[in-house]
Parts: sequence; C-alpha cells; structure tokens
Amino acid sequence: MQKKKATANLDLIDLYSRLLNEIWGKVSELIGEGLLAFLILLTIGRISDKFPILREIRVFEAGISLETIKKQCQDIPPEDVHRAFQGLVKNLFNVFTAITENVINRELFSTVLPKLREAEKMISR
Amino acid sequence: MRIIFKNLRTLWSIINAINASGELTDIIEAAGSRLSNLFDILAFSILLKKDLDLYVYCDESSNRLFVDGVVQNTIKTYSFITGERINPEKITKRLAMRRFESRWKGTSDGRLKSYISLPLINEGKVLGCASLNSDHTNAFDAQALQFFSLITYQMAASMKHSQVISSMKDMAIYDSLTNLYNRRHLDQVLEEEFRNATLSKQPLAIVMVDIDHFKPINDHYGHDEGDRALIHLASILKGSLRNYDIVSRFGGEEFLVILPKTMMKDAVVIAERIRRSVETTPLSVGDEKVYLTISLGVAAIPAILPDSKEEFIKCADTALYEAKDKGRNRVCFYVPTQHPIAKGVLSR
Repeated sequence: MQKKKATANLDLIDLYSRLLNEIWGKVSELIGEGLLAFLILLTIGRISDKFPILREIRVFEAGISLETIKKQCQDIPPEDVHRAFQGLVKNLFNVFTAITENVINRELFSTVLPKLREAEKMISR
Repeated sequence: MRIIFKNLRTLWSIINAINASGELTDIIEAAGSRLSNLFDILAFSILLKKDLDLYVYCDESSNRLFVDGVVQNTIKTYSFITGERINPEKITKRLAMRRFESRWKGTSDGRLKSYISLPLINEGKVLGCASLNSDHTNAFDAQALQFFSLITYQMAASMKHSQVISSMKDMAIYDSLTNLYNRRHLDQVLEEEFRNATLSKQPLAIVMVDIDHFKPINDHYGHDEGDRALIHLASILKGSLRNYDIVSRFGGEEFLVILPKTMMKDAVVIAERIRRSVETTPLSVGDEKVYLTISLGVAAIPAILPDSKEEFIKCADTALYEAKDKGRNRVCFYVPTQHPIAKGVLSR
C-alpha cells in the first residue's frame, strides 16, 4: 500500500515537473528567467503555509526542480500532493493575470489544461 | 518583416537611451518619452518603492478618468506584487503630459481598458513597478510583453546602478555618523563660498562649534553614548539653521557652520541661538537626562578680510579657543582690531 502510494506520488510529481518546466519554457521567453523565478518564488511564499511541500521546489536559471519533493513525499497522500501543485498552478495564473491580464495565460492554456486533466485522472484511478 | 525590424530598432534605441541615463529621473524620462514609439499606449506609469514616487507619462488627449484609472491600477499592481498596503496619500504623483505617437485609430470612451504591469526586479529585490496602459481592450500581445520585459529589465539594472553611484556620492559627501557634510565636502563648499564672498564683496560668516567636556562623556557613558551625543548635536544644528546655511562635521566633536550672506552681528545671534538650544535640550542616556553644552567661535567677512579659507577657519578657531578659555558654554567672535588674538565675548 505504502509502495503504491509512493509510486503514485512519483508519477504525479513527474507530471507536474513536466508541466512546470513547460510553463517555465514558455513564460521565460516572454518575461525572462529572472522575473519568472521571482514570480514563482513569490507565489510559493504566499501559499506555502497551506502547502508546506511546495517549499522544497527549487528554482534555477535552467528551470524548476522537484527532485527534493520526490525524496520527501512518500508518506503524503497523492491527493494532497495534487492539491498542492494544483494550488501552485492556480495561484501562478492569478499572478500572471494580475500583471499582464491574459497575455501570458493565453500562451499557457493549451499546455496546462490537458496536463491538469491528466493529473485529475491519475488521482481518481 | 519590415515592421519587425523597425520595432527592433525602436526597442534598441529605447534600451540605449535608458542605459545612457545616469540619474534616476533621466532613466524614467528616457522610457516615458519614448515608449509610445514602440507601444500603442495612452500612458506609461512607474511607481518606485523608494520614496513611493509615482510617475505618469500621459498622452495629452487622455482625460482625468483615464489618468485616475492608471494611478489606481499601478498602485494596485504594486501592492499585489510587494504585498504592501499603500496609503495613496503617501504617494508623490508626478504627471507629465506628452504628445504620443498613437497608432490605434479606433473609438474609445477614454477609460483604462488594458495594461501590462511588470515589477522592476534587481538581484531578487523589487525596486518598483512599471506599466503600459491603453484605453482599448487587448492592446498588448506576447511580443509587446517580450519587448516591455526587456525594457523593464534594463530600467531595473540602470536604476540599481544609479542607486549605487548615488550612495557612493553620498559616502564621499556625508559623514556616516551624523549625516552632516563631511570635512572633504566642507572644504569644497567653503572654498566656493569664500571665493564668491571675496569677489562679490558679500558678507560671509562661519561658526566653529565644539562640545564641552566631550571626553568625560565618552569615558563615563561609553563611546556609543558619545556617538549619540554627536548625533544629538547634529540634529540641533540642522534644526537651528536657515535652509541655505551649511553645517558639517569638522572632525571629532567639532562642527563648522557656514552662514552665507551673513554679517557678524547676525552670525553671533544665530550662534547664541544654537548654544541656548543645545543647553536646554537634554539627551536621554538610559533613565538619565544629560544636558550638553557647547562653545562657539564666530568669524565673519567683512569684519575680517582673510587671505584664504584656511585663515578664515583659523580665526573662527581662535575665537572658539577663547570661548573655552573663558569657561565654555559661550559664544566668542573674532575681532581684527584687537589682533592678533582679539575677540569679543558674548556672556552667558
């Protein structure tokens, strides 16, 4: 049971890792790595009390790493991991909306929505 | 393709102009006066964290409603990014009306309809927030965002550079403890004032100030309290002078005040006012109230006609030593007729 939970979490984190790095790739082309890193860290800072697992996200100039989370998430229910990343993506979109209205989000919808649906499916399985 | 090249050339010229600007206001002006060449905007706004200065560059056709919308939206976005609650009354608004090159020919009700607002970040720190503002919907696309992010990146880098230069200038001019001018700057200013007074035959006075029994203060209360005594005196000096007078830390516990266009009798009145103010304003040291006293020496042109600023200072210094000799906590002034060490004493 424990092993199954750990595998589900790893799959989920891999999915969110790909999603966040796709966001990173697209948005950094628009606003640059420095500003994007600032906005991601700002977002994490604002919701990390609710989702402490997000504090383990590492933001580098080359992208986002979830390797530390992978090592630490074995005891966490997959639903909680999903909720934390869902919260991050939602709040990140809110930040993008606050500064550029829909300019950034327009570029992201086609990438983000299918992956969020995929994550929902993984959880409901 | 031609339009893309034109836009890139414009972008390049804006970034160059920002990069070539040394002062903060020049950086903002470089952007504010050129951004409409690249973006279809009715206003550019920037709110700076330091001093909460809000600059708004508007097209001259924009109405009050639009400008108010820009101001509110810029403050809102800044607050969102920094998490700081801003009292609008604490913001200094600087509005500049310009004729913008507008490419959009549609109709508008003159309200703010779309914006891009990017934080100005340098080394992970927010310096402010800059916004492009339009009176029609969806005025900005991904390319506009790319261009604007490059511009704000350059603005943030130039602003940081300008801050560093400015703080280096401050370090060269100000005494780090008292925030008064330092000796080096005083030498330059006095040289200039002395030359002006000599050439234009205008009066000029200087007052040398020294804290009485400063060493025992340091020895009894410690050096931290000694430093506080210096800051306390600096604050009284600043508060006792006219806005065109110049006060500096001369060294140790000595201060020098320059009183431009001031005759001896007026300089003595000012010096006496300072003395009384120091005498009656206590310095709190723990639970104790310590009353400092100072001695002051005044010298003035044309009561004397020194050959150099050094000689001028020496005259004020001589008067100061006379004040010390007479028992301290008093003002003495240098009188040439009783040369060589002649002076007048203003009794307590």
